[in-house]
Amino acid sequence: MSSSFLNVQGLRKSFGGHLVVLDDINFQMEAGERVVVIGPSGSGKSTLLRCVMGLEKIDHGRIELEGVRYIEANPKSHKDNFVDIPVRNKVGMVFQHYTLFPHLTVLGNLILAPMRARGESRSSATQRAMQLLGRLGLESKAGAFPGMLSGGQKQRVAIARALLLDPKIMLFDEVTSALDPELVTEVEGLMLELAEQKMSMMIVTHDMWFAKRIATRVIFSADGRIIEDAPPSTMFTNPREPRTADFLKKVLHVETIS
Amino acid sequence: MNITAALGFLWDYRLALFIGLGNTLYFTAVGLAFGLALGFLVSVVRQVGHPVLKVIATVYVEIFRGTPVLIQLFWFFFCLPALLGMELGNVFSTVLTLSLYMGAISSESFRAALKAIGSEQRDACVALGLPARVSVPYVILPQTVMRAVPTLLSNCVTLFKESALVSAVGMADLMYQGQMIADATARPIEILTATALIYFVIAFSVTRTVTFYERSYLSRMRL
Amino acid sequence: MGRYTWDFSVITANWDPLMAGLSVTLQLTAICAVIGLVGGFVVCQMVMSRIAPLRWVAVAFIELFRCTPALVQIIWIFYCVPFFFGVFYDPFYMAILALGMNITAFNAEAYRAAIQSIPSSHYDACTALGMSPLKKTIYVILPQAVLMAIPVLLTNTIGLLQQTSLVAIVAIADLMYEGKTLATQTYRPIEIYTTVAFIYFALSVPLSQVVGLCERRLRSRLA
Repeated sequence: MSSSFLNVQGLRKSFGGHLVVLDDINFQMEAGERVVVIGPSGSGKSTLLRCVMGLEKIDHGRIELEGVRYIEANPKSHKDNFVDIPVRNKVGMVFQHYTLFPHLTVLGNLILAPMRARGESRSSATQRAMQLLGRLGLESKAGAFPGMLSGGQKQRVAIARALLLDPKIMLFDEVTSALDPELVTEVEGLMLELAEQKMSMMIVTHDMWFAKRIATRVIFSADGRIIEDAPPSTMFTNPREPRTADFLKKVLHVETIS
Repeated sequence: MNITAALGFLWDYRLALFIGLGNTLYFTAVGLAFGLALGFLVSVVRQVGHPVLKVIATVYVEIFRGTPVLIQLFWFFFCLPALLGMELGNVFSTVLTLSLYMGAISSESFRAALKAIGSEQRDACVALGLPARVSVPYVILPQTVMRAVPTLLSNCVTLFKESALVSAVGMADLMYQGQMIADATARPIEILTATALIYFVIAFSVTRTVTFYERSYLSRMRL
Repeated sequence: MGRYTWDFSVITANWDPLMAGLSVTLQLTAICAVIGLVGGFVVCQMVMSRIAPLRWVAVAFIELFRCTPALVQIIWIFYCVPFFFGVFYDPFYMAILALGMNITAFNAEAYRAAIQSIPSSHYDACTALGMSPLKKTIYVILPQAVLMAIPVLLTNTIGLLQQTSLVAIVAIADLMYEGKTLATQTYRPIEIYTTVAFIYFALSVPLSQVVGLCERRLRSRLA
């Protein structure tokens, strides 16, 4: 048992047994850290987040939160891992395509899980939800359906929906990739606010400038492995591994960013 | 031809037509009730059922979609009772055929709607810690039904129209009554046109409702 | 159940009339399918035309044929066309008229839906490339519309095959009619109706397989 806040041990994930997406990943992070995962497409970045959320069946390994094992590969079962659901529910996740429930209003999206899964009263859940929406400047949208919102608004609602469950850690899977450029800032701004409040985060993004700004640590992954793990200052100015340097050169079209 | 005379003639036969319409609506309604329940069940079985059940469900759907309703009616009227060695009753055979037919066509609508709910919605349910007892009734089912409603309503119109075939096995529905009066009075134009119009008014209003629903609700939610 | 002894010799003994009926069914289907493919496109162009009366006529035609039972259409045309026009054509041509108009209405909708599903960016691209409206229709819109419409057009054709069985009710010697006659003559309805159902099924299944194949190909090609 490790004392780390989040501890991923020997994680291996393949699709259909042969296509290995994550290969023996070992990774720890402390509370309050903001880890940004970068790397070429298909390097398993999103899959890593999905494994931490418990959305993927893993072949091997275990994942612990605050010293408690909550996901472990079960070699006997082809279908499921061992999952400690109450612990897993301390992890929150936001997806690239918002995944709001289209048939519920913004408020309905926010209070569904607190009310139906956590047994909170409607009035209390509504009060907390309205407070949070107020903080995000989305109060007037409480009665709107997701289809009527802009992409940036949808993504902020999705973040609010996850936050209302008081997660210990938030996972952000390419949350700005589907947004129009002018809407990216409002979502990134909200994430920076969360950073100020010392929220623990794992972020997958293609936006290197944002990565540099928000990360306390950057992980470069390729071919299902962690190639380099460094603070943003080192990673973006003076990467140790040639592969990292090569990748950064391609995505930034410059040697380094300062 | 004189319109007033035609209307007066039709008015004389209003009761017969009304009884026929009542029977048409009755057969359609019972067929709908059983058919929709069966269709939903079959779509779920085809999605998550045991492999053997899946094959049975698929064969059932293909047979009822792949043969004319008329032969289905004839089969359930003349063959099934003989095979079972017992009387089934004409109303029972009628309703059984219409229900099975509706079950087959509506199961496809339900299936398409279930498929259309992407895996992303299911991921969101997991990420929010929603157990199946919450995600199924509050997330999956409402979206399935809302998506399926337009096709289901056109399935209903289809069943309503196909129900006219029961006249061919002597059931006294609207079509049957219309034909009987036409034959007895030798004035087919008035009576058959009136019959067609009654079918049209009902089917057309349901069709318009579907369009309205699609425009107002579904597009607003971008389902 | 189980007491009934099946005897399929009645099928082999009456093979010729059944095949003659099948030939009529296939002829009806083929002729009406062609009418529907061409007529449907014409009516669809009328619906999208800039001339309002043309639009009204086309929309009324489509709604009338989509919202009444095919049986009512067939019977109406059989009884009323001779009355109105004082002519009596061969029943086979009357059946072609009725079924042909029916499928034309359904296909017109299929074409319209396909044309509307072409994104407006394609029209913009044509303008940007300096194509004339005629060239735009011929080279860009039409091929895509037909391609997109193929699955629904084929599904409608399967429906047509099954709808042709209705002509048995007005005594045209198609497969259904021959089956019905044989069933009463030989007192073996079970074997005969089951065989007839199987023939319809065997004709529909390959077609619906083609529909599934087309849908998958289209999805991957236009993705």
